[in-house]
Parts: sequence; C-alpha cells; structure tokens
Amino acid sequence: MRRHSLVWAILVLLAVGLTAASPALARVYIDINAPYARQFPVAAPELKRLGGQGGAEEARQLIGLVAADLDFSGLFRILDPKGYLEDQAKSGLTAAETNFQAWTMIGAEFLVKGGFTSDGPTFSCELRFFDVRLGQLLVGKRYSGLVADWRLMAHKFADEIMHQVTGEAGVFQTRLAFVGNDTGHKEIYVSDFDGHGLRQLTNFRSISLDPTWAPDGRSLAFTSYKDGQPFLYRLDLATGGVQRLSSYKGLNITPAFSPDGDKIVVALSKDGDPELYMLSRSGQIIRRLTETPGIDVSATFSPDGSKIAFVSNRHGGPQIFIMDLAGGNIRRLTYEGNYNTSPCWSPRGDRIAYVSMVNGLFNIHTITPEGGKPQQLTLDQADNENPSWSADGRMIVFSSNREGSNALYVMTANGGHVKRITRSKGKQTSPSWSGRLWD
Amino acid sequence: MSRKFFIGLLVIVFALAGLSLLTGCAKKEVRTDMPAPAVKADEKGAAGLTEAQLREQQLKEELARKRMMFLNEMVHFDFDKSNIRPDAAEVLKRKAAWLNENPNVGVIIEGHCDERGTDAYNLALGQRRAEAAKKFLGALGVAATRMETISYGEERPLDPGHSETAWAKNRRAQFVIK
Repeated sequence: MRRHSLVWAILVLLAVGLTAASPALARVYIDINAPYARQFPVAAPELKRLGGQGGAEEARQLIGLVAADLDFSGLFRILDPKGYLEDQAKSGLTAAETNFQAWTMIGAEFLVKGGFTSDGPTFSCELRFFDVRLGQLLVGKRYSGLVADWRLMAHKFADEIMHQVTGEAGVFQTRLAFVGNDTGHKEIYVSDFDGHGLRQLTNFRSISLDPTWAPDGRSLAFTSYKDGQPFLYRLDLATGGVQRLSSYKGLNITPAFSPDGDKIVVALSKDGDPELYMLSRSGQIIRRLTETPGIDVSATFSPDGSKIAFVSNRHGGPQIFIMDLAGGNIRRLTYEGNYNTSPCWSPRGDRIAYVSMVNGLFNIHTITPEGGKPQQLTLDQADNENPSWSADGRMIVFSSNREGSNALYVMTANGGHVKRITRSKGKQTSPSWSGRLWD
Repeated sequence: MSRKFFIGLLVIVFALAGLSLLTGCAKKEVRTDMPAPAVKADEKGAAGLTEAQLREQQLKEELARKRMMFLNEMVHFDFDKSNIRPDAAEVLKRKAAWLNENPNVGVIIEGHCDERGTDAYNLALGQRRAEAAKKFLGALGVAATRMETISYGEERPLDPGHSETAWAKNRRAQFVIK
C-alpha cells in the first residue's frame, strides 16, 4: 500500500538485479497478434529458506501468488507441484545448480525458483525466472521489506516475468474501482486487480456511479447524487478527500480522462440535452465537442489522446461514433445492432470494446477504430456490460449477471479464460481498471 | 294512539335519514395523505350536514384526489425513446390543467428508465424524458420557471420486477411537488 511508498522507492532501487545471462531478448515468446494463444507450462516450486526463522507461511503464499498471477494472465499453465521431480535438497537457486532435465521431463518450459529469509518484522527473498529449454536465467530480483510486503513482492516479480515473456510489464500491481451496493446504497469500492484487498471508498448513502481512474492512479472521478443532483466529483485515494469537479444544472456524467490526465471529457445537459464537453483537470469548460440534438455521452480517449469514441443516438438508437479532437470529423463506427453503448478504447489503440444488445441480451464486442466486422467476446445467456481494459490491453474486466447478481469478471482480450473477481453479496457493476501505478 | 304512533314513525324515518347521511360521511376511507373529513359523525347529531358544508367537504376531497392523481399518474415512454406518445400527451394535458389551477406550485420532473441497458446511457435518456415532458407542458402554457428536471436513469424503479410490465411502468416521467 501507499504508506510504504517512500521505503519502497528506496528499497526497489536497491533491489539487486541478479546476474542475467540474456542481453536483449533474442526470442519472441508471445506475439500478441497471434490468433492462437498457447499457454506456456511453468513450474513454481516452494521457496528455499536461506536464513532467519520466521516467514515460512508468507514464503509459501508468495510463490503461490506468483503462480496465481501467471495463471490469471491466461498465458501460462501452472504445473502441479505434486509432479515436480527435482530434488530440492540437492539443487540450488542458480542455473548452474538447477537440474533443467528434471523440469523438461515434466513438460515445464519456464521455471520460477527462489529463496527467502526473515528476521522478526523483516522479510527478504530472491526470485529467479528461467527458460527451461535453454537452461537460462531470464530475470532475477531480490526484494527486501516487511513481512506484510510479501504480496507486493509477488506481484512485482510476476510483472517482471510478464516483461520477459511479452516485452511489456504485467498488470499485477493495478487496481479496480467499481460500484457496489452491499450497504443498500450504491457506493464506490476499490480492490486489487484480482479482487483482493477490497475497500469501500465512499459512504454517502446516496447513489454514486461510474468511478473512473485518473491516469496517474491517484484519484477517481465519479458521479454522485450525494448533494441532491448528479454532480461530478474527484476522490483523492491517498487522503480520501472528495472535491466537486462539475456541478452544472442537469447531468454531469461519464467522465473520461485524457491519457496525460490534463483534460476530462464529460457529458453535461446544461444547454438542453446531453452533449460532450472538454473540461480542464479542475473542472473548467474548455470547449463543447458535440452539437447535435439527442444524446451524446460516454466518451473514451484513444491512447494517443487525439480522438474519442463516444455514444450518440443521432441516428436513432445508440451507436458508437469517433471524432478527432482537433478537427471534428465525426464518423459512425458501429453498424451492427440497434443498441451499442459503453465504449472503452484499448490502451494498445487497435480495438474498442463496447456493449451490444442482441436479442434483448447485452454482450461485449470489440471493433477496430477503422470499423468493420465486430468480434463478439461474451456469449452467455446473460447480461455482460461495462468493459474496461487492463493497462497492457490483454484483458478486460466487466460486470455480468451470469451467476445471479451482478459481479465482476475478467477475460482475455479474445474472450477466453473468464475468472470471477468479486464475491460480495449485492451487485458489483461499472468497473474501471487502473493504469500501472508503480511506473 | 295512532297520532303518537305516526309521530314516532316520522321521528324514526328522519332519524334513519339523518343517520344514513352521517354514516355515509363517516364511512369514507381516511387515508393519511388526505385531509380528515370536516365533520365527525358524533359532532353533528341526527340532522346531518348542511348543503354548504357538504359541498365544501366534497371540494376538499376533489382537490386532494386531483393532487394525488397529479402525483401518481405517470407519463410513460417506449423503450429507448423520449418522444411523447398520444396516451402520454393526454396525461400531460391533465397535468397542465392541474398546474394552471394551482399557479403557486413548482414541480420537479424526474426522468426514469427501465433496468435494461447501460447505466450511463439511461441517465442521459432519463434526462431527455424529463425535458420532453417539460417542453410539452411549456407548450401548454406552463411557465418554464415552475419546472425543474432531474434524471435518475434506471436507479429508482417503481417496480423492481424483471418483466415487460415492470419495465413499462419504470419508463416514466414522474412529478414531484416542490
């Protein structure tokens, strides 16, 4: 959590990169454009005790969490520890001390090994990630901190592994913000990307909606009726402070931050009907973006900040449109179906996720910004809504009532490997996936 | 003896007539949102209400009924639409009439949607519905300054059900007296 941030800043800088044999990565392990996503088998044996006396339980959970993170990504298959052959007593933590044959024999292509020490309140570990077939260390890190930091250490190393294999850091230190109504009112909640560490952020006992992460992860914008009207607010996560951002007559809804965090596009109805306006960070109107009668709402920025996709019913039912922020050029994107809403632009830039009502059911689709044939991602006989992309564009979190009350689920960008994230009573909806908070 | 009998009979007849008037008033359902009847059964005795008092009583009840109707009669919409249908127009005409009869009253027009569809889009749609009702009333002569609008999207359904009937009830503009 943030209270360790200064300590972490120092310690992570001191984190020793254990000697890696690889210069620039010669192999391309995972090509994001490949249509068939093969899962890489990876083994993650127990960490070895290197010293001290405590920390065994945390060490066990740490390696388990690294494995869980890799499994979560949908890119890896964790091999059952019961089948591991290498004799732990005889092997060590380095490549030279590892019997890679024993791992190849059980089908592992990657291996995570490590050791830990713990003295009272402190905990240190060293973790290594190997390419089993090459018998080569790809990345090694040493982390030091408090015993309670084991979760963060596991997530950090899982992010390193993702970096090795995909060329881009993972998203295991990111967070979700969403709406929950466990208390009987719609309030804003936050949790880790995997649902752990659930925290209720607001207690207005009103209707609070549509939390949206600022790009730096330090604040959330959201709409609330706490002062009697749908106004837009900003909540600072470090202090819990809430500040009014936009309180025009009528609606102040669907905030979308520009990638640099400097501007917010919102829908206001103050001039007659819901239109899109660009606001500064502090809520001053810079300019109005849409003019047509009817509904214009729910903007989402392209990752280069030059365009927005948004919802408009100027052609009848709601459809997704794109406009250039510099020059207008408003063009329609979706032509299949009569009801297309909730656009979210992938951080990779190449796809926009949205919700389409087909035969009365709501399902998530993606489409390229150039238009064309959409791809349907969810196929359940249920409502699947509010898609939000992970920072690496590999996964989508969404809300679904497929198992009863609405809960949050995560799937890969192709609709596979669906995992349930929230399990509280009541409904969880409207998720927003944060960017990487520890760049 | 027959005279006494005849007078007694007359008294009984009048008493019965008076009683039926009184019980007729006293038996009216007293709802908490209506004013209590002006006359209590035990206060007036056997003669019943005067014509003027009866008319006043009926007028009060009529005003209360009209006010309840103003609040309870909803303006309904088709799915994903904010245009005023002919049946909705009739409802709005009655509302305009009431507003003209009560010129000092201000109202809040709430726009609502059924549970289907995107929350955010429904907030916008609810706003459109409230504005459409306001505009229609404005065309019927109701001053715009008397009417505020607010959208609740799908957040405040009248009917928590998941059927077509429930959805139709929830797609509405609802009036609240300020």
